[in-house]
Amino acid sequence: VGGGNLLLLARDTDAALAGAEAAVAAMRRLPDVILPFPGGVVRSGSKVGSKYASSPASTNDAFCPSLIGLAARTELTPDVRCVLEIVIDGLTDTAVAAAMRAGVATIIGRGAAAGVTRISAGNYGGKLGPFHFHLHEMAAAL
Amino acid sequence: VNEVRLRLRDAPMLRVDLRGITPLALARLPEDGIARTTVWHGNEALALGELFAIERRQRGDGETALAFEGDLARFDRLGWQLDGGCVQVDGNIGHYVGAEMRAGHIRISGRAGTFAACEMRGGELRIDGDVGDFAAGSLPGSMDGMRGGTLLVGGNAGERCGDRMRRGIVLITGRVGDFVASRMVAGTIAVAGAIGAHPAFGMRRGTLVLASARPLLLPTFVSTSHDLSVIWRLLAASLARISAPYGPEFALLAQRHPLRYAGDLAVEGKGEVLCFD
Repeated sequence: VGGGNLLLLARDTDAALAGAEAAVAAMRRLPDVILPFPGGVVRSGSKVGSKYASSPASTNDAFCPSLIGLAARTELTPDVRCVLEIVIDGLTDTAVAAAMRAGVATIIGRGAAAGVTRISAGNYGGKLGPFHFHLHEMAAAL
Repeated sequence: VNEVRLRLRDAPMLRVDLRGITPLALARLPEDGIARTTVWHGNEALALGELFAIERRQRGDGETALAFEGDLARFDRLGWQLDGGCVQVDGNIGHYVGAEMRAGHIRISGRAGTFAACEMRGGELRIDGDVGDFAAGSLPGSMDGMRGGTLLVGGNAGERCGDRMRRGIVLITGRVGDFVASRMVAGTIAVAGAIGAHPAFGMRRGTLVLASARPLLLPTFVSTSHDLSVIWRLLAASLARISAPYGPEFALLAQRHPLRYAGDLAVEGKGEVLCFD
């Protein structure tokens, strides 16, 4: 099961990285999942597809603060100045969901004052495969 | 003996073309050879010895140097395609100074004419006074302007500064005229003082830093909000270091956070204008 993801929307780069690293540390303690990116952190929100045929993925323009005003559609407010992503691949969808839940719980535990003000995820219009993880359902228990 | 010093006798009647008069070329010649070297004065070939009193001396720093004294405002193309050594002018200089230069240093204590540093590729050109229009720009009809090296101006710059520039650094301590960074392809221009109308018109990529001016940008520029602190720390430190000879205008910027505008969306929109509240 590939491509579980969390988007961390933060006040600045340092806060985003600190939040992401804390979440990565919590998620790595769980079994049956890997975080395939270096340090577990993707340096921008990503999306499936790109304007170049050779590139299967690219920066998620709706979640990119440097493209506010340039992209046709944005999901960000002006107070969001950095977005990082965590990608989770796992053996089962329950393992991936557990890791995502652990990551969300860690960031919520740090509080919005630590700088990560929103958590989101990319669903890519269902293009990434059959497994869908709904953050609100997962976070209901938290 | 590694320095040739040329003292201007009298200002010439017409403009003089100094193409080919470089430190490395003159260092190879004996003194009478230097005096016999000709330059074009209008349509007449004139010997350097008729225009300048020539002196040779030893320089402490070991660099091959060529020094001029006097008002050379009618002398064009000094340092044309310069590829090494050091050129100093105690006074003003004419048009095209440092054009197409590839390496070496040029230092002008007065002001320079138009097209200074145009199509420059490397080295450093320092002008203590003002520069004319099209500094760091392109030669007429050419597709690319400055493409490497550093232009440092202690005074003001004219219009179209950095036109079609595609690499290198330009620092202006004073004001610039209209259309600064127009049609810029890449590179960095930093201006400490006020700017004229239509900045960054048709900018495709590159960076324009405005230390004090709050520009009236075209509608094809949009503000972006992302965290610039990492790149700004690097860029501000580099600007402070390069601009150090001309005072603290850029040195204090490192503590401030710039606003960023991306554009010009009418062309490619990958350029940026950084300015401050």
